Amino acid sequence: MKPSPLLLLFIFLLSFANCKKKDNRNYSYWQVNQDKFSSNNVKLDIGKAITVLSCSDNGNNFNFTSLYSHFYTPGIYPLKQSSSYNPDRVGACFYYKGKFFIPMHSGYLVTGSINGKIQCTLAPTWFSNYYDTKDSVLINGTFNEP
Amino acid sequence: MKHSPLLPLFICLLSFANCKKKDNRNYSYWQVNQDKFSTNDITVDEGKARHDMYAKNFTNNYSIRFNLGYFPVSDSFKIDCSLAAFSWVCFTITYNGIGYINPKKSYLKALSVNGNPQYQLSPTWFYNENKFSDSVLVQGVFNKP
Repeated sequence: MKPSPLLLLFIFLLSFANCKKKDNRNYSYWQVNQDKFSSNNVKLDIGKAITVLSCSDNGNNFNFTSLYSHFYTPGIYPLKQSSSYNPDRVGACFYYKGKFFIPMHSGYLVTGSINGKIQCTLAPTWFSNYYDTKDSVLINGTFNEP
Repeated sequence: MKHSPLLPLFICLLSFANCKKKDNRNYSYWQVNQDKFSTNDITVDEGKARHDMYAKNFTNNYSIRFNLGYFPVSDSFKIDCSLAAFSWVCFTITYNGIGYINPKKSYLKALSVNGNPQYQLSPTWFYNENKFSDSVLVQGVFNKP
């Protein structure tokens, strides 16, 4: 029995439907207490004055902000408290299980690059709940420009 | 006695040296507990998404950040720095070098004065960002310079 030309076309189209463009964007990896996360749902926004590296995942994500483009200059930058606008510092905040966390007293973000893309590293650092300073978490990670 | 021709030139230059361009930038005024502050030495950053305004003094300053893409001139905005909603405003105070934030429900009122954005804060409690048991009462009028 000769297969119908329509059947062949259908099989051909089905094979295309299974094709998916490979996602080559770099992943970021971080850990909050014992919970590990990874995502490449990350974007780098470069504004006139502010550069932001942020992840848009729901409930668990991160946001790094630099008043100048510190991300492009390898170095060790102190994390800014949410109230501080010292331009030498880098802003860092996390959502963990839907709660918003900001840096506690101290911490540093190390910036560098891998294959021409920005990579930021955060050593284990304490963050506190924005709405309740008694609630704190320990966060570390490697954050890559996608 | 005839004056040297250089003397009038010197006097003329001296008078110019005393001239100082008048600083017409609007001031912001605020009070933390009983201490009053004012400044027009403000940095304004107007980006694509974020609009920031903050005093340059790092010991006693304020900061206002809108994520609307502009400085609003009407309406009241919930004070919250958690980035959870575009319509919220992040407002913080640094008092004697200590940062204070406001995790309770309060609002910043936006209006226009002579076409310039102005933000009014009624007396509101702010909390030490590292220790909520430390709080200060803040009020003020914050003008875009």
